[in-house]
Amino acid sequence: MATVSASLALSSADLTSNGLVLNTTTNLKKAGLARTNLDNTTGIARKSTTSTDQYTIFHADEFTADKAHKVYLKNTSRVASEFFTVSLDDEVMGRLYAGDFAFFPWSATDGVKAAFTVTFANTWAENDTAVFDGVTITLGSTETTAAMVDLVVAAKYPNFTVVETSASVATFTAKDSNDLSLIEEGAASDDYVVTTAGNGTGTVARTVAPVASANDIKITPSVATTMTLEHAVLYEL
Amino acid sequence: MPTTTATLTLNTSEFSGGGSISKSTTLRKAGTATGIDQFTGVSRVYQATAANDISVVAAGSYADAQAGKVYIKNSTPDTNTAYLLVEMASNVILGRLYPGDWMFLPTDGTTDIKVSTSAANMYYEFGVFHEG
Repeated sequence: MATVSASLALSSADLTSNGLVLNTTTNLKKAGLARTNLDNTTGIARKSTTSTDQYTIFHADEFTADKAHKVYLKNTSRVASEFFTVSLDDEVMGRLYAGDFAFFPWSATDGVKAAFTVTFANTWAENDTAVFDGVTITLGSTETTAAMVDLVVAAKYPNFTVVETSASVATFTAKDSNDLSLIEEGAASDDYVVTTAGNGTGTVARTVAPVASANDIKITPSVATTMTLEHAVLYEL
Repeated sequence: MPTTTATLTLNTSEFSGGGSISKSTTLRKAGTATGIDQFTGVSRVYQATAANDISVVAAGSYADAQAGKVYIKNSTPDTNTAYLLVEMASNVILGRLYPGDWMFLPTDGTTDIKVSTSAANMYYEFGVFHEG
């Protein structure tokens, strides 16, 4: 296990009448009884921004919730007036001015990812199509519902994962809880579009309503000229 | 004006390309070269029983849009798994500070910061550098 120590030194000769000297060090460990060392890191990376839009630096969905993750952020700007507003999703934490850094724990609480099923029935004919998430499945020959499910599950979707729930049912799950799109239900869904010359049907039913994560780490630059944030997460699986 | 320096050091020899990084910053008022000149001091608190929503930064006590910094540490001896849950505003969970863990976070005076202790007999400390 990796040993990572994090130290903070706060010092001032004139902030208070007797000066300030505060030094603290901790070895970063995992949550829970074992308390073994944290052993994963994103590495220190940099993000340059060129607008005053809000940027998501870390998606909570990509980390295990309620662990002992630690986040490091630093504003590399040398212009005193330039700052990043750091937010925990919609909650503003504070401003990182030029040269400032932050180091804090992060629970990475997940949201709820949307899910729906498609139940295939009857017989699918040659050239029938199923279109979803920018992916089109076109049949080369007549297929059973089971074969149709196999084809649907074998496809790669940019924003959803899909598994076979039964011989006639495929279950789609959003990759990101912040994808709040509600897939239209029924056999004539405008979102999961089935076109058939035969009697094949694909009926959509929503199974999980999405809830956006409220725990993404976001930054908003104060200026539209180039600013650079240095960042890292030390985390556990 | 006072000069207050904060230095973060992360040290490991076990990640490839590891070693040490050290970053220092001088705590300054928002958008200026003037040093932060107010400090709450470091409070140390013993919490005999688990408690929720203990105020560390009450946003209403500070001016908005400032370059404050808050320091919080779970100083409970490292003999158990008691953690300090750090929350923003209306109980939006930021993260958990396990025994010995500390944090250093900007605060702009618009969001409350609270902690909850997960067990009895916990210690924690905190201090706020601010502009008033």
